[in-house]
Amino acid sequence: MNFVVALPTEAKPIVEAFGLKKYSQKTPFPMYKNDLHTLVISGVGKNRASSATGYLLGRNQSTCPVFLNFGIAGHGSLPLGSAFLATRIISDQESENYYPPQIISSRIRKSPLCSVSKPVTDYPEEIGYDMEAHAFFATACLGTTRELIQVFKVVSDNPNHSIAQIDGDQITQLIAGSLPDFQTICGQLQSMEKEINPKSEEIEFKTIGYSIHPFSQTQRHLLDRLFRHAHSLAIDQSIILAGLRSGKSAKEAIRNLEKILEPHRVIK
Amino acid sequence: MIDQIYFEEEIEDHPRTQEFFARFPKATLTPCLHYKEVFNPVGQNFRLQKQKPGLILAKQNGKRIQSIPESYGIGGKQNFYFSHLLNCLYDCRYCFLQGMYPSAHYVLFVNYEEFWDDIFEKTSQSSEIPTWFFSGYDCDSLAMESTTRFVEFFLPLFAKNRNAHLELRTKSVNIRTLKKYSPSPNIVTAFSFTPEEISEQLENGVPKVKSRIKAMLELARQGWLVGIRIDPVIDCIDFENRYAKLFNQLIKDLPLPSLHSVSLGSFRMPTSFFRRIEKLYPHEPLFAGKLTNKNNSTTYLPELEHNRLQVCKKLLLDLLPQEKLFLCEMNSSSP
Repeated sequence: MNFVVALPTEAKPIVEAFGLKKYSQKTPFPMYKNDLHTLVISGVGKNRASSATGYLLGRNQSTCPVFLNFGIAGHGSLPLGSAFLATRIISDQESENYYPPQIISSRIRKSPLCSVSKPVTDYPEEIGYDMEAHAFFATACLGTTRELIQVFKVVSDNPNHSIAQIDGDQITQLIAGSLPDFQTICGQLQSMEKEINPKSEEIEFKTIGYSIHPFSQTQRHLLDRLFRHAHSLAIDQSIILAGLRSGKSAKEAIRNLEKILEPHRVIK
Repeated sequence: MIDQIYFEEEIEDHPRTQEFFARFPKATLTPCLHYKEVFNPVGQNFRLQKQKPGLILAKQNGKRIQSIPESYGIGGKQNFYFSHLLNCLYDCRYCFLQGMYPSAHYVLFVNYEEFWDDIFEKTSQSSEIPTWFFSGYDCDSLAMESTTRFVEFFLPLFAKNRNAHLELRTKSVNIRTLKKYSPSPNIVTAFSFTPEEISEQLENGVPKVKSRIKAMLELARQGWLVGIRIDPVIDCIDFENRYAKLFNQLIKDLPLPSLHSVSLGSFRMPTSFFRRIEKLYPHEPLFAGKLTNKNNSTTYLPELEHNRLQVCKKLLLDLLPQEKLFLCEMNSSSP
């Protein structure tokens, strides 16, 4: 799971809550990690947000990783400290709009969000204002499915409380106050990520299967399909491996596997 | 439960849009410029969205009435389909919609009046030939009636225009609206079935076969014409017994004059859709069946397909006259 945060003061409560450790090697952005989560501090603005997101995407091993942008935002109507998920992300400079699919079940507020190039002080509409979400989403959706890209913001300023009145400690407090919501979002996104990504046991099984014969790339594609079918048809892995091993060549091994599956290819 | 409504800014003031806003006061309302901004982008996961789809209210400005392939009809000379709604309440694993649309959100076109104008115009162009309109190609015609009020709007119009024939295709038992009206001979409610064992495995969220039969009988007894759709026919163990049992259940209590038609079609869909669905559900046993790619369509192996259809045909012809039976070939397995 990947977090993109603009400021160190926004990152602090998450780093503490998830027990993230500063990554010791040199990276273009400050980065914190544990086994499941990676957080980068992008800095303020669309270019930095886009670069940091791209950097994380490039490092990613998962087919469909989770990307969450988290931080403070101004808002035209919501009170200070309210947290919201972005439903529509527009930009003052780009024409494309993004609509993160609203698949998280929670009572968390929802709001449109406009990413601006300069801080907003007059809050012309009853929507959120930030400086990163649009660029973050535009980059993240190049590398994962849109359901797993979400933008979660905490209101730090509004028409009654100027951004100038907020200091770093207050930002940290605001973010810390919304950690329960943050964890709800993370929990649900993590389950969805698991649901659509291949399981590690399957990847391991494939590796074992590939090692039995010198399969060509085309044959590996064919094998992948047969492994998938074997799983669907609830055929024991030991039978599959025995079938592959009994073949004298890669071609014969595939033929054996096809023969094993054939009588099972009907739904119960 | 709808808790996210997107709406095209252009139709914000449309009375039907406003009615939706009033009926779903807790829903989050999000404007968009065009429904395709939300619905069409690449990189969406239908499977994840299906867990919590939103409703998109839009206006269909494009072609509202489409011709259907010749082999799809149920006896009419002129056949069209129209889609007031894209996507279905149910989640049937064999359904082509999962592979056709990038998104699982429901798109509801609120300009019903313009759909009707086009239907009326098509009918008027050839008033001597009955014209059929199929409404259940991209959605289930009745399942979301309490949300869409589609039947409520269209039924009285079709009832007054007897040359325009309507097929409502459904797996729903939501027949309340139909029951409020007197039967019309130009409106057929066609119920889709697979045997109970298959339905339980593949038709997620769909009412039980028994409940659907009960709803069908209720309509028939009230005098409505009903149709039976055995489409897609799914290969399974104990095939003949399961389908024989289903056909007997369907037909034994049904007054034959109320039965408009029975159609039969094997599992089939464009291969590009099939590949997408297979990626979404890689461990679905249905997709590990004896399938092949024939003319860019994924179907059962020809011999198996022929055998399964012939078995069904024979079983059905023991129960009903030949003229009521229609064979649908090489189309997509429908909702």
